[in-house]
Amino acid sequence: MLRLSPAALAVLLVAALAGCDGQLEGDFTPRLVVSATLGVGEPLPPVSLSQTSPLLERYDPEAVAVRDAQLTVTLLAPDGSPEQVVPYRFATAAPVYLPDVSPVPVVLPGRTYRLDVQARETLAATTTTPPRLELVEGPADRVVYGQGQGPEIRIRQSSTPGRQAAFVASTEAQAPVLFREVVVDGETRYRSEPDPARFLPVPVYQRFLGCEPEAARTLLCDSDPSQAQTGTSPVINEGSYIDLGDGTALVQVPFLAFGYYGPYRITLTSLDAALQAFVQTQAVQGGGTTLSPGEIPNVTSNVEGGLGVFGSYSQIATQTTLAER
Amino acid sequence: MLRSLLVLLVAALASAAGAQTATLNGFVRDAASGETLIQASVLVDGAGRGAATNVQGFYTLGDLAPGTVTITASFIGYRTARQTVTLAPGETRRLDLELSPEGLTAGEVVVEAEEPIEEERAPGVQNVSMELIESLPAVFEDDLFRSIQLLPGVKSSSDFSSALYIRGGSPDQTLILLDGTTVYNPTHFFGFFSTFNTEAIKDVRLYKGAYPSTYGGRLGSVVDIYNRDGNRNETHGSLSLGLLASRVGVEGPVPGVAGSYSLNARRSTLEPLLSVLREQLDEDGIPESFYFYDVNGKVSVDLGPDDRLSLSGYAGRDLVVVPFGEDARFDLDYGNRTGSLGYTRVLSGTAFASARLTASRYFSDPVGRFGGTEFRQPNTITDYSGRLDVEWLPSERFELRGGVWGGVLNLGLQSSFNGTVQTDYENPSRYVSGYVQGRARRGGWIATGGVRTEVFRSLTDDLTDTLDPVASTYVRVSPQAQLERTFGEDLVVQAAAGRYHQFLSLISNEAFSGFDTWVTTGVGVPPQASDQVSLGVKTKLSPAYRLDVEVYGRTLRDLFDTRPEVQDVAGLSYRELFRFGEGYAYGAEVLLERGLGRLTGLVGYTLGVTRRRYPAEPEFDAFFPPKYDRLHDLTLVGNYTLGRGWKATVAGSYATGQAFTTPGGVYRVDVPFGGEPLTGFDTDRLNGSRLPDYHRVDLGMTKTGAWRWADYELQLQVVNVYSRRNLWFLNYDRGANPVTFTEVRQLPILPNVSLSLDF
Repeated sequence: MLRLSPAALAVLLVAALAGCDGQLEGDFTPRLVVSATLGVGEPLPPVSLSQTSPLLERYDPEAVAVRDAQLTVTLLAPDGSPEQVVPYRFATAAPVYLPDVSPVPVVLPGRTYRLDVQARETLAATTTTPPRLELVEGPADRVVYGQGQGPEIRIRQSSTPGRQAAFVASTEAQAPVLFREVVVDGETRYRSEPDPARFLPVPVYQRFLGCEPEAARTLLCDSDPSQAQTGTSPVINEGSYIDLGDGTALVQVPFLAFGYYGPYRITLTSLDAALQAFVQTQAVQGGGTTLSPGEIPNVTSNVEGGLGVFGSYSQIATQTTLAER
Repeated sequence: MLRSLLVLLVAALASAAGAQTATLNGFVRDAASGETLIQASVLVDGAGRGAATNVQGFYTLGDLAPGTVTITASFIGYRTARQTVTLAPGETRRLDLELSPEGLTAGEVVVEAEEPIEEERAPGVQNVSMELIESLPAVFEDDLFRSIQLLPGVKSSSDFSSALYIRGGSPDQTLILLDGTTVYNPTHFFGFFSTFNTEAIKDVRLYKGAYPSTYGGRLGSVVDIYNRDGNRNETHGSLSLGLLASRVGVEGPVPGVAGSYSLNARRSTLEPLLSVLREQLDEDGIPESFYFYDVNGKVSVDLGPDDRLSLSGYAGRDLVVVPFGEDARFDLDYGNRTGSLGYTRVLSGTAFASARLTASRYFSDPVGRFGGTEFRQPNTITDYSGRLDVEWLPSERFELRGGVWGGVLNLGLQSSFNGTVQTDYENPSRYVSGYVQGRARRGGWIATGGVRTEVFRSLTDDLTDTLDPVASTYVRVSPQAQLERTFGEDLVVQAAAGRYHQFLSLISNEAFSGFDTWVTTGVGVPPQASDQVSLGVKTKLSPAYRLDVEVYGRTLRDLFDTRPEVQDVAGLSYRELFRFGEGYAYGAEVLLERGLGRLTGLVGYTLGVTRRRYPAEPEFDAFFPPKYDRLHDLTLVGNYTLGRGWKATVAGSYATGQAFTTPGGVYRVDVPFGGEPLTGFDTDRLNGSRLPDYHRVDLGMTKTGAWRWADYELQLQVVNVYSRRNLWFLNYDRGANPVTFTEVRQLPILPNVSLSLDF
C-alpha cells in the first residue's frame, strides 16, 4: 500500500500549485482582415486586405498589408445571381485594392454586394446597403451651447425590411484652437496658441482635459485637446428619434458630442447590419458592459474565413456653429 | 428512488397512526437574553430521539412513549441543559428550555463540539457561525458575505466584491432572505460590503445547492438570515467604532408585555477623510458626499403562550456625489428597504404555523450631468408578498411541511438622455407558489421529498412603449428529493437532487453594483432552469474534528441576460434585449472543522468547474469559463485562544487564477465616421487564459475584557499581510500604438482597528 508522509504530501501540493501559474501572453496566429465600407451614392470604395499584427507590436499598415490577393466585388440581383462583377487591383502606394474598371460604379441603395477574396485563404462577405438617407432640414446656423437639447436635424424616415435603422452621429470641429506640446516642470502639457479666428474647448471638456486658463484666452492642458475635436455617438436606433408624424424624424445631437465652440460639421450615418454589428461588438471589447472585466469576446464579422467588415452605409452631412452663452 | 420514498412515507404514516403516545414541544431560549435559538438540538436521552428547533426556536417531539424521560438541549456556545419530565399517555406537554451561554473562564474559552444536528447536516447546508464572522480579519468592517466566501463551494469575484458565486452560479441565483423578506441588492459601497450589520444578526443558514422545497425562486442557493429579536430580560446597548463605519445598538424588553425589541444602526464615517483629501488634493473625482447607512429594527411580542407577533424592518442607503468642476457631476443614490410582519402560532402539540407579510423595495437613481447634457436611469423594484407555512411533526418517523407564497412584483426602469425620456418601462408581475414537503425516517434512513409549483405572470413590452404590453404566464414545477443514511452517531451519507426555476435575472457589472437592474421573464423570455444533484459524506472524526465531503453537479438552461453589444434599446422587442444561455457546473467540496480546544477553525477545499455558452451569439457560442471559475480553491481559518482575553485569528486563501481573455492579435478597420479607424482584437478563445494564482493571508488579534461599565472588544487586524498584489484584470489601451496594457490589481496590505463596547 502506498503511504505518503506529510512532508511528501506538502511537496506534492506545492508542485501542484506551482503548476497552476497564470498565462498572460496570448498565442498569435496571423489572420486575414477585410476593411471596406460601401457608401450609398458613392463610387465603389477601396478594399483593404491585411493580416493581424501581434498584440504588443507596433501596428504598421504597410507591413500588414496583403498584396497578392485576387479581389472582386459583385452586385447581386434580387435572385442572388451576379449582376455586375467588379475586379480589384492592388495599389501599392495606398496600400489597398482599387476597382479596376472605369468609370467606377456607384453604390446603389437597398442592394446586396458580395466580396470575394482569394488570398492564402478564401474569404467572402456580403452587405445589403441601407436606403438612401435624406436630409429634410439641417440645424440652425447658430446654436447657443447649453440651450435646448442640442442641434436638431430633420431626416426622412425610411424602412429596411427585417431590421430597424441604426445610425451614428458624429461631429467635427472646423476651427478648434490649436495646441502645441510644451514641457512644464518636466511634464508634457498642451498650450493653446492665441488665434481670434479659432475657438476654445467648452468648459466641461476643459475640465476633463485638465485645462487651466492662462493669459489672454490661452489654456494649458494636461491631456491632448485634439482628442476632443471629434465626437462619435454610440449606435442609435431609429426608435430613439422623435417621430414628427409627417414621415420625418427629428435627431437631436446632444451637447456632449461637442468639445469646442465654433463651426461644426455634423454627420449622420445610417449603417447596414454588418457594419452595425461590427461597430457595436468592437465597442464591447473596450469594456464597460455587463461582461466581467477581462472577458473580451471577438468582434462580430461578416467576413467568412477572416476578420473585419465588408459593410455599407448612407450618410448626410450638415453644418452649424456652436456659440457661447 | 421514488419507490423507496413512497414505501418510507407509507410506513411512517402507519406508525404515526399509533395511539396513546405523548408529545413534547416548546421554545429553546438563551437564558440570559431570552432570545430564541434556531437549530438548537433537543434530544430524548436513551431513546435515540431528537429534534432541532425551527427558525422560530420551536421544537416538537411527537410520538413519545409515555413515562419519565430526560430531555437534553444543546447549542453551540451554550451549556447543555437537562430536564426530566413524566409524560402521561396522550399528553401534550409544553416544555420551554433555557440554555446558559458559555462564560469566559480564566484564560481559556472552550467551544464544545455538538452532536450533529439533523438540519445542519442536510446536504449542502452550512450554518454560518456569527463568532467566525466577528473574529475574521475584515476589510474595514465585519462582513457576512465575505465570511461566507471562505466556505467551500463559495467564490468571490475579487477583493472588491462581496457578491456570492456559489457552485458555479452567479450572484442573482442565490435567494437572500432577511427575516423572510427578499433582499434584492445586498451591498454597500457598490458591492464592496454586504449590507447586513453583523451586530443585528442572530442566525445565518446557507443552502449551497439542491435546497429544500420550502424555498424557491432561485436557481442555485439560499442565504437565510434572521435578525436578533432582542433581549427579553434587560436593556443593553452597544457601540462600535471602526475606521470606515461606526455602529450603535440597543435592545431590551418591551415594557408591559412579554416581548423584546432590538435596534441597530450603522453609518460610514468617511467624511473627515474626504474633507482632508479635498483640501490637500485639487483633483477631480473626490466625492463631495459619500456615505452609507443601514438601520435594522425588530419588535417581537408574545400574544399568548402559543402566539407570537413580530415586526421587523431594514433600511439601507448609499449616496455618492462626485463633482467634476462647475458643470459636471455624477450622483448615485441607491438602497434597500424591507419590512416584515410575522405571526407564529403553535396550532397543536405537533403543528406549527407561520404567516408573514413582507415588503421589499430596491431603488437606484444614477444621474450624470456633463455640460448641457444630463442622463439619468432610475430603477426600482417593489415586492409585496404574503406567505403561510405550516409544519406538522406527528412522530419521529414523519414530518410534513407545506406553504404558499404569493406577491406582486413591480420593476420600473426609466432612462432619459439630454432631456428626452428614452425608456419608461413598468413591468408589473404577479407570482404565487405552493409547496409540500414530507420527511420520513426509518432505521438509519431519512427520506425527504417535496415539490414546489410556481406561477409567474408578467406584463412586458419594449422599453419605449412603442409596442403594446403583452402578458406572459409561466408555470413551473420544481421537485426536490434527498435521501440520507446514518451510520451510528458520527457518519451520514447523503444524496440530493432537485429542479429549480428562476423568473428574474440580474443585470449587473461585477466591478460595480450601483447600476444593478433586475429583469423578469416575458414573452419569448422563459424562466431559467437548473437541475442539481449532490452526494455527500459527513462524519465526526473525533470530538474535536468534523469532516464533510460533498460532490455536486448542476445544469443551467434558459439563462437570460442583456446582450452586451446593444447600445440603444429603443424600438427593440423585449426578447431582443436578451441573449439566452446554458451551462453546467460540477465539483467537489471538502470541509474539515476543528471545534474544540484552544485552536479552532476550518480548512476548506473546492475543486470546481463552471462553463457557460450562448448558442445564438456567434462570439459566445462555445462553452467558456466565466471569470469567477476556479479549479482549485483552498481556505484556512484558525482561531487560537491565547489567554487573558486575547485571541489570534488567521485566514488564508489560495485559488487558481481567474479566467480572462488574451487577445492574440490586433487589427484596424476604417469606418466612415469619427475620423479614426477602429481597433479590433482577435481573441481566439473567450476566457481561455488564466491570471496568476490568487493567494492572501489575513491576521487578527482580539482582546476582550470588561470594564466596570462595559464589556469591550478591541480588534487589531491586518488584511493581506504580505501585500500580495493579486491581479484582477488587464486593461488594454487600444488607442495606443503599439497596444499597451495596465495590470489592475486587487487590495494591498490594509490594517484595521475597531473597538466595540457592550453595556
